[in-house]
Amino acid sequence: MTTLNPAASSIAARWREADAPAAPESYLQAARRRFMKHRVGQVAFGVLALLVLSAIFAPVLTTYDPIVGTPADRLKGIGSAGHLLGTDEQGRDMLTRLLYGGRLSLIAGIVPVLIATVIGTALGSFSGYVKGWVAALIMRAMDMLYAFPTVLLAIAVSASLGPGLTNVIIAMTVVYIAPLARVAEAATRRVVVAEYIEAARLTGAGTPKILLTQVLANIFSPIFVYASGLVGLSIVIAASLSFLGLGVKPPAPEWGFMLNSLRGTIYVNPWVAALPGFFIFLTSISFNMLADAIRDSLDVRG
Amino acid sequence: MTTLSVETDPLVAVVDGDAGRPPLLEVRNVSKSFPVRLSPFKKGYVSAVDGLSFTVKHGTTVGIVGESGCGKSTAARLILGLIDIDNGDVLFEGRNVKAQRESPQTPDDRRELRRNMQMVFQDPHSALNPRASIGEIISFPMKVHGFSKEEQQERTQWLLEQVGLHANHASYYPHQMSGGQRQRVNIARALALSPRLVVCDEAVSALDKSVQAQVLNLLKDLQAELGLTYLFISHDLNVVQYMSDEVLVMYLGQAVEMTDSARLYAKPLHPYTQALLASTPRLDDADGPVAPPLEGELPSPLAPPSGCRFRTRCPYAMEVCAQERPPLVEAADGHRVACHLYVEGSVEMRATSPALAASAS
Repeated sequence: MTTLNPAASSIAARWREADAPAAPESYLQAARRRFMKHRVGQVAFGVLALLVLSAIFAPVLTTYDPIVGTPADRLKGIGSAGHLLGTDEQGRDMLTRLLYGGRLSLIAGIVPVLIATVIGTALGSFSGYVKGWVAALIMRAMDMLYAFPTVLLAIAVSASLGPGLTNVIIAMTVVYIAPLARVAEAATRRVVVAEYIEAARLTGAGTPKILLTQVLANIFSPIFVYASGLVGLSIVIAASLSFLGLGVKPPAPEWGFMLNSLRGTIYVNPWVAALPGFFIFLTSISFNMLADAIRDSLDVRG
Repeated sequence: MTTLSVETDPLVAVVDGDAGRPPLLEVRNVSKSFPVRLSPFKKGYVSAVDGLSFTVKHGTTVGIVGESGCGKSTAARLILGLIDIDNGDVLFEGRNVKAQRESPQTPDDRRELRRNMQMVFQDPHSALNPRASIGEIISFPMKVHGFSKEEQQERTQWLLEQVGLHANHASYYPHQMSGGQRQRVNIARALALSPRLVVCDEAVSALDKSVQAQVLNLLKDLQAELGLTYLFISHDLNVVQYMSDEVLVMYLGQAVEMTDSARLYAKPLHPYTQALLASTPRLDDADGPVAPPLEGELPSPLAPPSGCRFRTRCPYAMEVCAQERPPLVEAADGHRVACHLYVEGSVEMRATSPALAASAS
């Protein structure tokens, strides 16, 4: 240890950092740089952007009517003249219906997950942070919800609310809150033992402030990855609800319902019948890939 | 190694000379036990801190030493109010902290308390939010306490310079800094609200020796310049000796000895302190520590030994040790020790006591 002379212990004599350069890059810059190197993530992002944009601009991209078909042209194969992706059992252009169907399917896939993520994260992180009997009550209620099979719960909620897109969204939100709250709670429990949480408590900051400023950013990754995995499932459940007459009403195009209605033509026109499934798969896997890429890019400790 | 004397600092000298003022911090008979579930139907209590009392004077440093698991960190958290106290009182400048926290007389009372007591944490990795920039980390306490944006920025810069960092470091993230730099940030954050008392919980234990020295000297410089009072907790005897004016030795949640640093290291009275000091490795020991280190393990705090908690490992244990808890008595001027060897009435034992003989030589 160096000898310390009180007289010399002025700021000038103290060990200090030589002129430090400004931080090489900010957090978001670093995240962007890493994402720029993530090929898979970029492809997934491109695919999703394409799906969303084509759903939005469907009327510009195709001239066919998505609801009324030409019965004479029914069940054409992929690559038929005028119908690039063939037609369905009522002679409606498949490409048109897939583009328009993306609107409902993407909404039904993403919106419930988004809402459930917000509610589930709030409930879960609160429970994980405060513990005690209120938290126990919340989490046991979540366990009860979680005990029901996903589809059954969605049907039950949806049936009690009646058909329609809004009710489908509400039903699926209810279904997803429980698992998301559990993921958020587990992640929060891991974070709250860190000393920086104690440091924040020591300043006198209230629970909501600590949750928002200290906890949220640190539990984001696992929640995000889990939620993105639910998007694909969400589209499929929305499809199941439509099939049961609880969701979107036919003849409005929706991928899940199209998959069901084309079931009967699978021996005649298997490739066309598989198309809606392919789109659900594409959306779902792209979401997963993108979420993984974003998680990797945001992970500063990596 | 010269010790930086606090008397040389005019600010501290004035405060210290004010005899009528209550001590900055007074801990009175504080206890805490944590419930643990031993089996689904059986609950036990871990006695983490038991009847701890001590005072910290303005502008001084009180060191707390002891093995890991002896309740040092719990004591720190009890004082700061991070954990609720079971029994006893903590007084800050003569005012009961618990009362001030639970029924503040003015809305600012509680804030004031928060501002006055801050902590430097042990682990430079876990103590800083990995998703926040250094600037955000240091200014967070100020944000909570309603400083304006300009004040926050200005003070963050000043604090960074105070702890030997550069204003540019505000834009860094914790993972872009070294352990020593992170610990400096940790200190800067503790100083953000200009506290009177700073509790350093193993503040340098996670650092390399060379970096430790830098950070310790920084803490001393800051104390002299800002008139800080430290409660310095560590298991490292050398570090505590270097930092402290007074030292408190803890064993299994209880204070066993407290006196000024020079006296404790020169002439330890309690058998535990003696064993602790004897087991410190020294450069001039050719063949390891002189005295054999303590035998046995720390007893379980779930069922601490009756009477004196150290008796199970004490070479001088007597019958009375199992029956009565030794009070913390003043065995010599300003030298308090909790051991039956030094209790009035056991004088005859004292005469034959090898512990006393060892310390008296």
